[in-house]
Amino acid sequence: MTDRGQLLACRECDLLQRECELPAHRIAECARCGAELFRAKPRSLDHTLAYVVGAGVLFFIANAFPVLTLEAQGLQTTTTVLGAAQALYDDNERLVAILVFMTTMLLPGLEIASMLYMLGLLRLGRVPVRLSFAFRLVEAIKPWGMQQVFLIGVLVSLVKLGHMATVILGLGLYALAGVILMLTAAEAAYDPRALWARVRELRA
Amino acid sequence: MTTALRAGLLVCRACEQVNRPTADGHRGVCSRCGEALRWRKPESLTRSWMFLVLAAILYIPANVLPVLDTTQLGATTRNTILGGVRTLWDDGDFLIASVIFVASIVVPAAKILGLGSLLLGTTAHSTWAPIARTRLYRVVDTIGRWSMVDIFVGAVLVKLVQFKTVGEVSAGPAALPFAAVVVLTMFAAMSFDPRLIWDPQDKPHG
Repeated sequence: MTDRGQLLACRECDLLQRECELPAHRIAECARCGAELFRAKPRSLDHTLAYVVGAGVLFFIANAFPVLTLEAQGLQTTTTVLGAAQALYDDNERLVAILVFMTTMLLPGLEIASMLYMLGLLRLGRVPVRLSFAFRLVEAIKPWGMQQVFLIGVLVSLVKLGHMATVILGLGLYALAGVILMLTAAEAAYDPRALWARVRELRA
Repeated sequence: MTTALRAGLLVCRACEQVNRPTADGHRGVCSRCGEALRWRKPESLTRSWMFLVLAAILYIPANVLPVLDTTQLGATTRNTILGGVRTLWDDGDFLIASVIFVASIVVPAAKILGLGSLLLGTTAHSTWAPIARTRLYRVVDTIGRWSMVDIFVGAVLVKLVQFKTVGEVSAGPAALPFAAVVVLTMFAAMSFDPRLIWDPQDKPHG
């Protein structure tokens, strides 16, 4: 074991390999199965933090304002993200409602909050308390955030409803699209290796 | 070429740090993030099979039962998922009809069949085409969440379409099994450890 670079194992086929220097934005792939091992992401933590701050602001707007409003025969109904989950709850589909609430609101919100907490404090030069917990929480939440899928669902509803009534797009819908863009950019810029390297620097 | 397993090293599931077992031979926790270390995902095949079989069973009520009930002028229409697709198609919304058909019917079925074949091969310690099988796993793992589209459409419609005269929409009995299929197939994919596809390759006479 020399100092040629950190050992790492492919998460898909377990092949042991060594980390190498990569030019910016290039991808290192597993020599055996071709899975992505890691990517060179310059200034990963700063970029990620910037996107996460944007996502956090838009998250509030996306949840505070209506996503869609429907007008028919002089009557109006309107929905927010939470409203959609609540309608299912009131319709006696409790479990499905909870799933909708978690995947569209609670878990994305938790992910944004944990990322802000970790990256914000690291930026200020402090190692966050319970960093490992926050880190593992983010990794566990990621597959369950379904805001993109929800947005597609809203667009499909838009088409379905367009036949029977007037549909008005709300501020919440645009903000939701913004949150998705910001979070996708944040996940693309995020490099856990940079996070742990920063922690090591701060602890040294 | 060797693997972490053969080199006696444990890889953290959360942060991917490569760890040594403790001096007295225990797996221990990750030195960097504190996650409990495992050689492979625990009970990977058993859990994955269990979630998959449950999902396959629930796929039936999810498609046979009505998912949305629409009441217009006192008459209630009950639509299954396929029925909803047909209505969209007949209305001329071919793109949306195709999106829903693929997301709600094709993707869950493809996930169940894809994972099923992965599990069969891995349970039989197959050494056949590991790269293709790993790629199949990657696809199955990525597409899973998109099946939720129909549930979200339903939620929005139930919330918005509440006009006594124009129409009222409420969720049907297929909503729960349908959502369960999505969640269970996601659990099944998460429980499956793709490294098990490769382990038989690494045996000397595999």
